[in-house]
Amino acid sequence: MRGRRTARIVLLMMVLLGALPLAGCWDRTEVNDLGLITGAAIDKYNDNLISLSVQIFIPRAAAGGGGTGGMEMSGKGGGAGSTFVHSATGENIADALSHLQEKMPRKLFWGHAEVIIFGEEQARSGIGDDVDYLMRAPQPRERAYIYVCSGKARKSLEMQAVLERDSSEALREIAKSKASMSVTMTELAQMLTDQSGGAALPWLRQNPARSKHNPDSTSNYTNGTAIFKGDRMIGVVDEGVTRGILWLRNEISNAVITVTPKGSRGTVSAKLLRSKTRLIPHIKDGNWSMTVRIHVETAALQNASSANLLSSPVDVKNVEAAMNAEISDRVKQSLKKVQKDMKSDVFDFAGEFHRAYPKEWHRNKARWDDIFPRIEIKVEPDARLLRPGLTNVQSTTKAGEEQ
Amino acid sequence: MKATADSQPISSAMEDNYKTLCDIYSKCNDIIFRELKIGGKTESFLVFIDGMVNVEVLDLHIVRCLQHLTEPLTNENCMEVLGGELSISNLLSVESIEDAVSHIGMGCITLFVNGITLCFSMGLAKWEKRGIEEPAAESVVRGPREGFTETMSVNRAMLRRKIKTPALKMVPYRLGRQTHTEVNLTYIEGIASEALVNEADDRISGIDIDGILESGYVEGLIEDSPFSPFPQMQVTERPDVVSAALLEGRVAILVDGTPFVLIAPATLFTMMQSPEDYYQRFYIGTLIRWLRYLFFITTLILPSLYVAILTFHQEMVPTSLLLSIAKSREDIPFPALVEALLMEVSFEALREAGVRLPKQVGAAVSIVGALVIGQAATSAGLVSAPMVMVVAITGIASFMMPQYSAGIAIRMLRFPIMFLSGVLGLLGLMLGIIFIVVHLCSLRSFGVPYLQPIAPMKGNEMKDVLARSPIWMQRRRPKLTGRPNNVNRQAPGMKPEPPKGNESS
Repeated sequence: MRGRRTARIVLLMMVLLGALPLAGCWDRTEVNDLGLITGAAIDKYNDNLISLSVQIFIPRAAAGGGGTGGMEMSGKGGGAGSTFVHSATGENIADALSHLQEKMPRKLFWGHAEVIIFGEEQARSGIGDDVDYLMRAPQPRERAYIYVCSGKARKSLEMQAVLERDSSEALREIAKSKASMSVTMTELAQMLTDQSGGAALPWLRQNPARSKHNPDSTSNYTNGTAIFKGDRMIGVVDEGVTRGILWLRNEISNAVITVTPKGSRGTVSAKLLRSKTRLIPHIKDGNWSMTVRIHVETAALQNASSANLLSSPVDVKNVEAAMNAEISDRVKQSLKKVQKDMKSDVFDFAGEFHRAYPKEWHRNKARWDDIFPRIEIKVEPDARLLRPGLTNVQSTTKAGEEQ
Repeated sequence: MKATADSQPISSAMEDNYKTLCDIYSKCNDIIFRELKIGGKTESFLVFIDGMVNVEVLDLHIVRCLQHLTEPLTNENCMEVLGGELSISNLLSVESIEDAVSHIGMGCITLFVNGITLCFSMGLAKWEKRGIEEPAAESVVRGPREGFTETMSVNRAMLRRKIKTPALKMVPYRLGRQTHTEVNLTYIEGIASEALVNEADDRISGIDIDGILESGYVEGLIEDSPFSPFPQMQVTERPDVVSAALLEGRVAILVDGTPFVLIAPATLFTMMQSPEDYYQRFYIGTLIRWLRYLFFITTLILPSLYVAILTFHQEMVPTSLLLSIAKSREDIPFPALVEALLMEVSFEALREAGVRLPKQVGAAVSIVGALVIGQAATSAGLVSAPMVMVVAITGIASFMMPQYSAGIAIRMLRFPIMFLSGVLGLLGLMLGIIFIVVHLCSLRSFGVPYLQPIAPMKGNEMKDVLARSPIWMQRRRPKLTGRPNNVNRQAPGMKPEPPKGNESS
């Protein structure tokens, strides 16, 4: 009796186990069968077609040691030649991708695409459709960094990286350092769908070639910001304005502020410790205004001035005042450019007003494009020099002159 | 001619007894019959097994004494006379042939005297035995270095030397129709719950089998879930481990002829505790315990995780790591699953070969094996370097389990999980883990849930599982099955501290 039960259980197990291979299919995908996309570039081809370029990792080229592979995974092989760029044209990304796949022996895999670069022309004619694919398709990462690049985006992808593995890895590292604007795909999608109707993406420019023999040996250089209205790029702003945008968007995390304090010669540089920007909207008698409070804490990095930060609270106050003026300047400069000239709400003022005055917002949201450029903005920076340092090694001439 | 003895009384005629025993022990070359005349006139003979008795004492003190015995022996006075004359502490009278045979089997010398319906068994058993050595599989840095031996009396003495209270009980059983192996159920009365002792007694008494050659036989016959891959009894060679278990209220089963003692009940967590945890400072004990838990999981799932992620979820690996794996996998002709199986199976083969081979050859095999697995396989392009890493880590991790049998269980279980994850990806991996966890939840060892104190949750006992709390904090014994008696094992306030007060006074 007992033996029969055991036999039955064993039989059942065997049948169940047998069912697994019976289907005859195994939907595995080995790494060897994947073409790993490390970066993608989207350019306008002509009025109807786009051109999709992908940077694909070449594992064989990177495996050092002449084909033996295996244990000796030497450091060589990296850098030059470990990736190649391939393009295809199509109606949209999905179409272009299918054309690209036709030419590839391996299955294209988006899971590790670290950066996606839009060409300038494509950006000017609208990136909404492309973002739709990138958000909708399961493989591309929502955390990929997005760039807009001057000229053809494919060129940026083809560039050789000196320090990093390839150009897209270099771009990703730059974005991660948060020194300038950095926008991930999720953030871009949020900017495109929220009520402000504006978006900002980091702007990529190519450095001039280092030598004539090797025109590819150059690097990308990001400093500006591409300003979008809706999903179309309307202009580019330079480095200084970008800084101001970062202050306003509360995204600044890495900065050195250099000022000349009042009543002393030379400059003082302070490193940003932390900063917090608050946007406080007001609507009074139909007047829309916004107070921008920027609270900044800094540590003195270099004192090349005659100010004595250690013992003179007055000097510290002067430095703080100078920093306030500097920040205020930056912010006003970028407001003038972005708010007044380009009329694009990349700071998400719309969201602030919506949250603070939901009723007024609903009444006026259709007119937001008219209202936005006319909003009065008051900047209230509050910079503090928290750590003046422990010693004061000053240039004697400057100190002497002061007396 | 019969091989076994009936319950036949001892005849008063010596010839009859002699003939009966000769029949029983026909074709037994190792049985020695020695005829002698007591006091020069009474016919008698000694029976014993060659090599199992102390021949020196026999020659010097028994044969000579008997030859010079003057007082005549009768049925009534024989015990007093022999007891007075023979300088032997362990002297018994036996009434039937069957008992006599069983005594002979235990290494006693039996004396049959003409005209007396009793025979005398003299406990002079002595045979060549191994000395007490350090248990090789359970060595510690700090702690006693003695291990059990194959001899029951030595093992019992080792336990008694550690726990001197008369409450330490050792209940004897004779198991095995042919082997008559001595098995002792050991517990501390007043600490082990009666229900547990009764249950153990029931299970051991129920055993009816030809032979018990090792405690594994007993384990296989009394465990709760015989089909489970997990051991439900702790096995140890160390007297200190057994003593600790006894003091916690567990029972131990000693089997003659093997140094391995069974401890019941056992939980998964007792399998992952080493005696050294308690001998070292508690911080390191706790950390090492967590290291073991970590590597327990590692052994179970690391190769499967690698296979699953590499064949189904490439997006889950950090980019740089995936690229370097892609580099090293580029020339590998096999799917990751086949690669993993290849490596894991050859690792198991090497391990098994290393255990079986003589020591001198073992070193050579492990060196060649390491080369084959590590270097040659990768440069031949059969296996990728990351896979070698994974297999090596898994292999090391599986040996971190202090209980060899528990280590075997998880080493075995990782193969089905590997298949599942190779076919179904992470889904299969989770399926396998769920299956194992459900199975563990349903296991019991002598009535104690296998995952106690995690499931069912016993907050008070967590301190010996999630951490190894200091000795003075472990006031209460863990609660096992049945009604606990005598739960406190130390006086309150055992935390040591310097005396309070003024330093000068």
